[in-house]
Amino acid sequence: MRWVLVFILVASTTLGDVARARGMKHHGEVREFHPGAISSALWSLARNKWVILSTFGMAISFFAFVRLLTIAPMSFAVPVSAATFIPETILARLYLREQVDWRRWAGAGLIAAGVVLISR
Amino acid sequence: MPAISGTVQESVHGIPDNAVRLRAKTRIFTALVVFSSVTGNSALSHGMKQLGDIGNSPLALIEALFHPWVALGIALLILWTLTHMALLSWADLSYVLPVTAIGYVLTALSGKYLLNETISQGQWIGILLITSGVIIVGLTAPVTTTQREPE
Repeated sequence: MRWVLVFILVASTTLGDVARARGMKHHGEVREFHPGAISSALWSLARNKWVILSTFGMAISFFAFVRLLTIAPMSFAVPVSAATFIPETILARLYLREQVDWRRWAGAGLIAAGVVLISR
Repeated sequence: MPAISGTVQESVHGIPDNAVRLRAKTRIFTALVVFSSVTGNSALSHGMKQLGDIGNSPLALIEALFHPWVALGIALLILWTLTHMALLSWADLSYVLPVTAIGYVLTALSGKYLLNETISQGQWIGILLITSGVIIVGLTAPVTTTQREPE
């Protein structure tokens, strides 16, 4: 059960983040932050298929994480959730076409290792 | 065209002022994303601990949402969602993901200084690794994609 939840957590978080990044780039830079601008942005985002897909992924990820916390300690749940760094960085490079230079790979690697150590 | 989408960014290389503006905006939103995520997750985890194992039923999960700490956690995670979405509207995912990981360090340090938890030697090494990773990625430009699709 534990590892099934971990798989669901990692897959849905990756889907949520990548789809969110894709949808928000499609929407364009958010530049105004007064209430009127925010509500019209939200209205537009609510009809953005990537943002909808992302919200779906985030919802699954949220419930998987909450469920995992009820059967496993934080010291297990937090480091395994850092596994999302690997598929997300790969997809950022291949799918979102970001320039992931050596500093970003090194940083992601250091952080993933650090999360494992910090959660023990 | 939605009212807020603004002008499409042609390039981040062309106008230095724009790069400076984006970097400042990125710092502010990164701080907001980290704050809401750290406080939101702490409140949520505190609430879930009080509830204990709630089982698999969807009804029990929905009921848990009305626990005060869980509700506060969710409110903060809604703030996280909005600021994270705004940040990703201009910054790279491969930038946002590592720099917001400083939240792990803040969670550990707040455990030490607010809850008097002890931090082991291994955890200090973890804090050092995460912090150096965040600094290294923080040195890269937040935006590397030059193409923005039209609405």
